[in-house]
This record gives sequence, structure tokens and C-alpha cells, in this order.
Amino acid sequence: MDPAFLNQLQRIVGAGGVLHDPLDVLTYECDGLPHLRMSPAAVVLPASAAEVHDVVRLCARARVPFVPRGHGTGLSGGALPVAGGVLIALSRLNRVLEVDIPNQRVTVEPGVTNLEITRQVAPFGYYYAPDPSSQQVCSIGGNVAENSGGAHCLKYGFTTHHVIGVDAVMPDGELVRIDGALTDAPGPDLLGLIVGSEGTLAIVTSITVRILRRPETVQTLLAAFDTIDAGGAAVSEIIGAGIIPAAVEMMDALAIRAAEAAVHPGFPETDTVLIVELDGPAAEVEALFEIVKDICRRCKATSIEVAADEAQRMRIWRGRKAAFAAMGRVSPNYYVQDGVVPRTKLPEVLNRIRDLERRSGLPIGNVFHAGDGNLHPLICYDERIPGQSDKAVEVAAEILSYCIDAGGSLTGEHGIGADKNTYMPQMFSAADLALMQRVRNALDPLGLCNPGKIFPTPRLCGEVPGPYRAHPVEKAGLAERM
Amino acid sequence: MDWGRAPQRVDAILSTRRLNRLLAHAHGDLTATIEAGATLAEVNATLARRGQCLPLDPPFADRATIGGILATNDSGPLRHRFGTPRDLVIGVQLATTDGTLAKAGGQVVKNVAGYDLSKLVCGSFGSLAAIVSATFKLTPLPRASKTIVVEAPDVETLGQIVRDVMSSQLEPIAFDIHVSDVARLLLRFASLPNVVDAQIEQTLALAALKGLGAPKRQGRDGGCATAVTEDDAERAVWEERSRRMWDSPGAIVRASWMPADLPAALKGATRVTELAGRAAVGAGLIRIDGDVRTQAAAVEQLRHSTSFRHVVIVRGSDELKSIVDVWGPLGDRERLFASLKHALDPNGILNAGRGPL
Amino acid sequence: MTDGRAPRSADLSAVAQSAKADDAKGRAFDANHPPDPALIDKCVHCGFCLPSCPTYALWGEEMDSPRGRIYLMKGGLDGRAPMSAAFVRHFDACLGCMACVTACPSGVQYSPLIEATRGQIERRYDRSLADRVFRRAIFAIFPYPARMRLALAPLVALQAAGLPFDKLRASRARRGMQGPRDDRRAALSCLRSPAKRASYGEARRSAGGAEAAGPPSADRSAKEPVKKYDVERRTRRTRRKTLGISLCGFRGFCVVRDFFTRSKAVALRPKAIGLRPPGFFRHVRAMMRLAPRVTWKSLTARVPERTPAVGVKRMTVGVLTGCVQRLVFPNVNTATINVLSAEGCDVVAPRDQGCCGALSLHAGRLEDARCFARSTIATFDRAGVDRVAVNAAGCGSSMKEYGQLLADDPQWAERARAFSARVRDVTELVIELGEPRATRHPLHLRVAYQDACHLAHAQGIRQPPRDLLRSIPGIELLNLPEADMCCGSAGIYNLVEPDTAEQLGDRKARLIDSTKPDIVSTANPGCTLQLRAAASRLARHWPIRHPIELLDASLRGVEISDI
Repeated sequence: MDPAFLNQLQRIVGAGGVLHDPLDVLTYECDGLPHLRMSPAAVVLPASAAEVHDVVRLCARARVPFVPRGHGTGLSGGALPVAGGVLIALSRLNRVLEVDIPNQRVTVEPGVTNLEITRQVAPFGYYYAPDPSSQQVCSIGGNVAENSGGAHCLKYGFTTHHVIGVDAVMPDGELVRIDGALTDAPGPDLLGLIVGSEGTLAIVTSITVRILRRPETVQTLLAAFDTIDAGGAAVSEIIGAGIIPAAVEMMDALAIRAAEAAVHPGFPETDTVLIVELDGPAAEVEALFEIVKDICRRCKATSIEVAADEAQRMRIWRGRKAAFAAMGRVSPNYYVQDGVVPRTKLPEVLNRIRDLERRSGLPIGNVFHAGDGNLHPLICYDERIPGQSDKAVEVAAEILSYCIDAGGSLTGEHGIGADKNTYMPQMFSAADLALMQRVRNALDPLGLCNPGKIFPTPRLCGEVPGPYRAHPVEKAGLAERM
Repeated sequence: MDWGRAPQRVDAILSTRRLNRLLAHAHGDLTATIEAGATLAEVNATLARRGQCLPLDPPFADRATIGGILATNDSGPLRHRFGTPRDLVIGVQLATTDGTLAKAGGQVVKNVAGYDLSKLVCGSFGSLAAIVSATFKLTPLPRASKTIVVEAPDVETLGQIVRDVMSSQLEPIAFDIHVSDVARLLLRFASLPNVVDAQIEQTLALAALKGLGAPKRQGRDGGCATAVTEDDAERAVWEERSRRMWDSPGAIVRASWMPADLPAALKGATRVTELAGRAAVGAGLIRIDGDVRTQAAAVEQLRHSTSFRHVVIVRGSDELKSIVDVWGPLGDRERLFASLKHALDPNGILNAGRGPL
Repeated sequence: MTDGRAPRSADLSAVAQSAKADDAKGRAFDANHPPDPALIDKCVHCGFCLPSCPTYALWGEEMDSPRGRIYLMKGGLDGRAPMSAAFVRHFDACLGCMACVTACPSGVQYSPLIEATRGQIERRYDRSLADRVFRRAIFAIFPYPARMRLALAPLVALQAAGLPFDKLRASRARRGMQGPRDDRRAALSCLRSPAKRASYGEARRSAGGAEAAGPPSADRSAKEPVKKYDVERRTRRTRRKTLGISLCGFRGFCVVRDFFTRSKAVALRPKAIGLRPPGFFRHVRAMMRLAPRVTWKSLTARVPERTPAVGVKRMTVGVLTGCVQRLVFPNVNTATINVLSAEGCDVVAPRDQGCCGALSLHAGRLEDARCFARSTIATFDRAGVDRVAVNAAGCGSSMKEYGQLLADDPQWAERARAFSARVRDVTELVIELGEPRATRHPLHLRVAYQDACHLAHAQGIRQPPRDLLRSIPGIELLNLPEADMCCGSAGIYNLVEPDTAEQLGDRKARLIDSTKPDIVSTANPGCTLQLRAAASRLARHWPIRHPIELLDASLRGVEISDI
């Protein structure tokens, strides 16, 4: 990297805010999807919105591509650095700027974790609704980029429904306030465009979110089923009965085993468990909860356990939320996918995945948001066995094609990132993608802001998406990945 | 066609009235794909056969089309629980100025693949692309519904009740205020019958409501402080509320405010004749009576006050529109709007000059 | 990006050259117990550990997070990360608090990984002379109570001479906001050490005797000096004047003090760990700030080797008296023995016990650690005990790891495993004993309990100390924000990385203070010293006590003012 450019960066953020030692930047070469790696030329750690602004402006002037990053927990390689580019890590922008309880709004910097917002407002009886499983560590900035969901988004909506304003640094380095504490700004919904744009349109430096009153009652049950069909049928019936639970989650045997090994939530040993949570006014929850229990019984649940107290409820959720990362306990490597199918197609697609599991020989765990049809197949493989990581990619691709066939989507909450951009043509026509590209070019004409994400890009010759594996040139000893 | 500035030039009007089919209703998935020209009332009548609805209730549902509702991002009292069209739309098909049909989003309620252009067209007033069809998430029709209408002696008391309801455990699906010569508050609960009753009881037990007198059931506001309505009477109450402002003379503007600061805000806005909107969201419509000069001054006053923001004229005479800008300042976003407009409609043929782009 | 390694031609000489370059740079690890790749592979890079890591909380840098450190280890194994100064600094910055182990859903065992990495660093990396001297001094003194006693002796003399050590410690806080009362009191009692020692012996005998109902006499005698306080102080002041240190001595002292404790401007930007380790004087300054209050009495205090159980005996328990604990906080050992005997245990505190090896183990000096482990096992095996009670969290965690530490030693492996299985933290043991026997008298106190990392994270003991405190009527246990985060003590960390340790200490002290406690309780001597230093920088003076001391006070039914 050009020393003069580094100097200028240092002038903005101080010497302690720029990392360019190969050893330091090494740790930034991947996010929560470690298969995709790329070392950035430098990592910048701004400590204020003004510094982000200056850094982006400098990059725009020097035509240096840049990638924003929160705490690096994304699962689609959305914060994968660009070779020769700058990685802007927002971990130091971690202040809570304003807590306005009467108006139920909180303004934070992007490096604040999702759970921290709830922590701030919990003493007043409020919480922040979107709850990705990584909520204790994932940053709000990242949530905005990916439009993160979570278990409780079935009833309450995703990040885009809870963010009411952002301050954003646009790719040309201009700081723009997009909406704010007051709603209904006239004009197209720019906020709706920015939320979920995976950091390709802007870097947000402050975010105003709505907080919700804690519901009067929360009741959670854990139902066990012998077959995934029975569990899927129960989900369909619950929704069909006009009940919108706060959360409906499903886990299969492999995921149950992993969660049990990691946090001992006390799940039954069975083929499928269904977690149903209802919240709201006590009378409503009580009445609906009985209906849900009836439905589970009718769908041949082998056991129904109702969380007796908050501790037990937390235990169930700990089991559910740790399930991904806990796969490390049952398999040396795993690859998470994030397809969505219409709820009614769940049993059909799950059975196709079971078939695929048998055919491919790779165990596939399933932890998913059944209420909104968001599948998280966890494809287990061992990268030390030759051919397995390629196979995992093929299996993942096939599962995604099942989702598209069923009228679903490539991703429900993890984002397209650098992981699935080559699958985009399966879901969108050339005209659809061209329209999105035009929007992107309107806001980032130079293509400097998080390039290589979302849109299919021609890769290196001979390179395929998916887990890291040596490029043929590397294998031949002709090049080395830095 | 009232909304926005006067068009600069009209060569052709593209009517979507014949694009009025309900393309798909996946009742098991609670989604529906609807063509842009269908009216909200038609759509909801069809969806109701399966016990579902598209929970939007902007004024004039019998005339408002799906495309128009999306393009204006218009909403009504149900916004309190279900949000605006941008919160319910999950996919959209657009006709762009280069003559192609393109889609964004999808058919499933959860989807983050690609840019969410279905949100971008919300509030665009048709100036980026023409909406051909859109997919929405639906909601089951409630089994029971009741509305409680509270008449507060003054705006301060109203503000106190609003704050109390906001910080309570009540979960109304609509929570409106209506301030003209009287200050009214409307709370609608919809759920299982016993739950609705329980919530009504809880509302009446709120400290701020105590001392306002005992409820008179089935009444029509007639002199008593609180009234609980259901069925046809309930529908009539909401219908009346939604029409009332439009049936009265004067200019109407959209505006937003900080919900907890409403009484203070109203005190500063002396020229406001009537205000109706979503109490907890802090957004709604304001009617301004008087001659054009008074109206213009009132709009300027609202725009300059610190309490109100995003003041947009939605009904006003051409004269008013020529004195004050319809849209008001767009802030930093103006530049971004310009880039987007240039990228999607380089020749400026869509809705030329009406704004906001 | 371009350090000349990117494109490599296939021809052999170039490959050989670049291999040489690798060697010259120094590969991070050699074949002698590098971090285990199988353990590293368990890490799925999910990042759940980040918010739990104190250094990540301070600086927000990936290299100074558990995930980043594991990635660096992986880089070290792949040959992508050399054993450079930067590499070493990132591992030096790790407190070893193991909060990441608690946070990890994948079950990554960070402890053996960081110990192996530190082992490699200690063997293969050349530290600067000052750094070497300082570290060597620590390991030559701390694990040996006799040497430690000698090292602390001058401190006693200085404190006895009335040098206001509290002020020195609190130099960053407003001066004069606290009374050096406790210090003076400690200094006073050393003047009357023979009598005091005698009364201590008595106290223990009576506590270990047949009846435990009445309040034992230790506190009664402890009350006495308070009465004499004023008289004694006046005498000493006079003496100081006559000695002539009041003027020139104090001035001189101020100059020296300012040199050591000069406060830096508070940096607005989070200041990450520097590439260079702190200098020698910074180390000394850190030591001065942390200096404990010691007296001849505490330095020479001894607990009885055998204390019989009160009532029917439940088991025989050996007590590890610790290196720092026995010299600096002898009351904790006394309280441990009092409580255990009152709860029906024969208590043995072997005279010939030495260091348990915790400091060495956690700093990567594995050979030293093994020697200490063997001798500790031998001592307690000779004593024939059912359980070994430990009242210092760091010691307990290393003793529970003896099994792993000596796994390669065929002679000791089995014995070490059996020994580790008998080790209990004292709070854990008290709860394990079951139904309390001795009467707990009420103590009306708001107590902030700060988890010692080596208790909560390394041993997974969170509930027992809380249960123990809750068993005391009248105690209100406060919820600390960021309870899982290290206070910055971390073994010798606050000596070798004083800047980071102080940042963490200040953060912790502020959070503790936000709960407005009457008293702070923590179960590790290092944490106690660290919290005390941080509190005085904040001009706060909550007393800090081990939970077992509070239980002991409750059993003895002493007044709150005497705790």
C-alpha cells in the first residue's frame, strides 16, 4: 500500500487507528464465514463518525476500495476485505448516543452490539425486538447492513421495521442524514434501500431504532416430534389457525445433539423439536397457548414441555441460539446455508434435504425459523478428507435450488455477500439484476464501497464459490494466498 | 392526482385500472400478489373469504389502488400495529423507463436477497418506475374487535393519556388521536373476545382515565367521556373519523412529531384547525382552515417549529402550492434522490415535475 | 500485502530461498508442544467470545481478541505468522481470564492453547533485558514465601514509618479524600506484634476448640488497637518530627512518588497495546501502586498445622495457605480454617507446603510449574486429606489442572489426576458440606461480589460463593454490570502489563461503584489488590473481603464496623 496514503489515514485516525502490519491484518482476513479469506492492505479503526467520513472521502479521492466491518460475525462474507483495499472496522464506534424512553427511541453508533440496546432499556421495561442468534456480539451496524432477523421476527419484523433513521457516509464521502427520530420523511424510502444493502451503498455512523415495551406475558413450549413432517404440519396448523406466535423454531436431531453438548438445554432426544413462544396480554397468551398445545398433540407430539419459569425459558433459548456455533462440537467443519421457502412448502423441502443427505453422505443438521420458512441447513464435512469441502458446496447449492424451486429465496437473514452472489441469477433475471445495478451505480458510481458482494462477479479463472480451498495456482506452488 | 406539485407536462396518463387482479393468494403462507390497479376494498373483500386481510386502511379504500397506496406509502389507523405499506410489501414488479419488466424481493415473508427496491418505490410517487404488481404479507382477521373512544378535557390530559398507554402493557391495533375543538383518543383492540374485554378494562383502569366518568357502552361520543363500540358502530366510528377531515374545508398536510411531546407541540402550532393521527408513531394529518395566505403562513409556521417535521401538503389549492413548496426541504437526501432519478429515469418522463424527485 | 512472498516461482532455488527467509524471520512455533491444531480447529470463527474479552472491550481490535489470537496461533502453525515482537505482544496482552471459554459455544479449550503458546514464547523469544530481569525477579520471588517475606520487609518498614502509601496509590485521584486509617492501624499493630501474635494463637485455639458458639476472641483483641489509636498516632508523629523526616524526607518522597506515579493525560481514543512492552520503571511504578498493606504480624503470621473439627467430624481438609495470601491476607487463611472447623472438618495446613505453581503455569513456565505441582501433591498426599481447600482462585484453577499438566509424566500422571479430583475452592467446599452447622449471625451489608476469573471462568464456580454469601442473613447481594469481565489483575498481569491492567481496573471500579456497595467481596488475593488500587484511584474506599472472611465474621457474630 502506498505509504503516502497510509500516512494520510494515520493523520485522520492517529497511528493507533491504522493497522497495516501483515500480522495484524491477517486476523481481519475473514468474518464469521472463515472459508472466504482475503487480507486487506490496511485496517482502519475510526473512533468517530467524523473519522469515518474523512476516511471514506480519502478513499474515494484515491480510488481505493473499502469494506465496512462491525464485529465480523456475518455468515455470508459480507465483510470480506478487498485485495489492496481498506477495511473500515467500526468496533470502536460503540457509544450509545441517546436513550429516549418516552418516545421509545434509542440512538446508537454502529459498533454497539444488538443486545446492548436491550440492556440499556431493560431497566425501563423495554427491549429491542430483532434478535439474531449472535445478538450478544453482532453489531447494530452489521444488522442494518444485512437487515438481520432472528427468532422473534415472525411477529415483530426485521431490522428494517425497527430502524427509523440513520446517519450514513455515502461512498463519495458525504455524510447524509436519512430520516431520523421523526418518521414520514417525504420521498422514496431510502432507508428501506440502505437497510439490507450489505454495506454496498453506504456506511452508517449512527442508527436510531424503535424499542418495544416488554410484553405482559411470555410463554414458551418445547414439543418433540418423531418426524420432521409432523413438526412441519404443526407449524402450518398454528399459522393456519390465525395465530402469529412471537417465535416458532425447529431443530432436528443433529442440531439437538450439538446444542445439548454445548449448553445442556435439556432437549429431549428425538427427531425434531419445535419451540413455540407466544407473548402479549396474559389472557390472549393463555388462550392461544392452549390452542397451540392442542395442535401439537393433534400432530402427534411425543412430549410437550412448557417452560415453567424464566430460567427454563432462557435455557431453551440458549440451546436454540448456541446451535450454530455448537456444530463445532459434532463436526470438524460445517457450512451454514440460509434459504427460505414458503411455510407451506416446509415439509416437502425438508424431505428433499433428507434425501440429499442420504445421497451425499454428508450429515445435514437443520436449525430454522419455521414460522417464516427460513431454513438453516448445517452441512457437516471434514476439510481434511479430500473432496469433502467441494461436496459441501455442491450440497449447499442444491439445497438453495430446492428453495428457489419452491418459490423461496437464497437468503432470509445472512445476506448474499461474497458467498452466494454467483447464485443470484437463479433467483433474479438479468433485467432484475440490471435494475439493482443501476441503483447501485447511482449511489456508488466508482464501485468502491464493498465491491464484489451481492452481484455476481466474474471470479478468478477456475475459482468456484464456497469454502476456502487452494486455487489450482496455489496448489501448483505458483502463488500464495496472503 | 391532488398530491404533489402541478405536473410540468403531461403527454400521456398511464392508468393501471385494468391491472386489477389478485394474482395469487397463498393463504397458508399469509401472502398475496396483487396487480397495481386493484383497489384496496376489492382486494380485502376477496382476502376476507379466507379470513385474512391486507392490514392497510388509508382513507378512501374503495378508490385507493394498491399501486397508489404503495407509491404514496399511505396508511391509516392500523399503522400503529402493522406499519405502512413499506412494512408489508415483500416483493414488487416494476416497469422501468428502458422498457423492461424487473422484479425485486420475492414471494416469501423473509428475504434479504438483493436490494429491497419494493421499499424504494414506496413514497416515490411513481417517479422512479411504474409499479405493475406487488406481493404483501397478510394478517388473519381478528375474531373480535372493540374500540374505546375517550374524550379528554384538554390537550394536556390527552398527552398524559397517550404517555400512559404507551408505557402500559396494552396492545391496541390502532391508537389514534383526534384534536379539533375536542381532544379525542381512539383505541382499538382486536383479538379473542375475552382478551379484548380484558384490555378494555385495563384501559379504563389507567390512572389518567380515572375521574373521566364511567363508560357508556354502544354510545356515539354523545356527551360522555368514554364510549366503547363494536361491530357496525365501531366501523362507523372509524369511517367517520377517517372521512371527517377530508370532508371539511381547508388545506391538509402530512406531518410527524415526537409522540410524547404532542401537547407542547400543539401549543406552538396556533394556526392548526384539526390534527388526526397515530398517537404512538407521531404522524398524521393536519387541517388548516382559512384563506390561502393563512394556510401558507400555517404551513411555514409548522415547518419552522421544532416540534413538527416533514410537513407535506397533501391537499391544497393551486394557489397555495404556488406560494409554498409542496414537499418542503428534503435535506441531505435531495442529492441522493437526484442521482437515483437520473439513473432510473434519465429523461425525466415519469411524473415530471410533481416531485418529490 | 507485499512482503515479497506473494508470487513464488516454482523453481526449487526460489522455494529454498523463501524457506530460508521463513527461518530467518523465525517460525512462530517449533515441534516442542506447539498449540494443538485439533483444539484450534474447534474454533468456527463465530465471534461469540469477542464481547467477553477485556482487551477487545478496551481496544476493539481483532488481534487482541480470543478469536484473533487463535487465528494468530493458526497463522503461527501455517507459517503465516512469524514469532515477531507484534506476535508476542498480542499474547502478552491476553489476561488469561478465560472469559472466552465461558462464552464459547463450540467448546474451544483456550487455556491449553494459550499456555502452549506462552510456553513457546518463553522458550523461543528474546525479550528485552529489562523485561527479562523483571519477569525473572517475579518468578524468583513470588512463588517462595520466604523470599517474598524478605522482599516485603522494606515495605513494612516504610509503612511503619508512616509513609502515606495510600496517597501514593491514589496519586491519580484527588488527594486527601481518604483517611489512611487502615494503614495506620496496620502499622500500629506491627509495633505490638508479639502480643498480637499471641492473641492470634489464642483465637485460633479457641476457635478450634470444643465450642464455636460464642464469638471467638480474635476480634475482641482486634478491637483494642482502635482505642489506642489516637495516642499512638500522636507519639509517632512526634517521633517522625524528631527524626527529621517531616520536611526534607517528605519533600523528597514526593519527588520520588511523582516520578513513579505521574499520571498521564486521559486518552480519548482507545489506546491499544503498544508494540514495546512497558519499561522497567513503569513496572516498578505498577508495583508501588499495587503494594499491599503488610505488617510484621501478617508477614510472620502462621496458622496452626492442625485444627480439630467442631462437633462430629465430616472430613479432613487440607488448606493451601498460598504465597501471597499467607503474607498479605493472613486473615483469609484464618477465616478459612475457622469456618471449615466450625462446619465439622479436621483442618490440616501443612507447614512444608510451597507454591502451587499457578504463576508459572499461567505464564507458560511449564517446567517450573510441574516441579511445584509435584511437591504440592506430595505434601498433601503425606497429610492424608479427603479434600484440599483453596482460597485463592488462581491457585485452585492450576491445582485442578495438575492432571493435564503432568499427563506426560508416567510416574505422576495418575497421582496428579487423583489429586486434582480432590481440590475444591473453599466456597465450593462449604456448599458441598451441605446443611450449615454453625449459626450465621446477621450482617446487614450491601455486598458487591466480583467473580474472580480463575474461579468463574477457569473453574466454572459462580454459584457457590453467591450461595455462601446469601446464606448469611442480612446480606444484600448486588448485581454487577459486566460481572463476567476481568478486573485486570490476572495473576502477574497487572505487574507486567500495568497500563492495560489499570484501564481495566478503573473500568471495573467505576462499575462496582455504580452499585453503591458497603463492601466488595472477591475470592482471589490478586483481585483484591487490584480492586483496592483501582478504588483508591477513584477515591473510593469500600473494604474488600474474601467471601469466607464474611462468613467467618457472621459465624463469630462481629460488628459490621469490625469486618
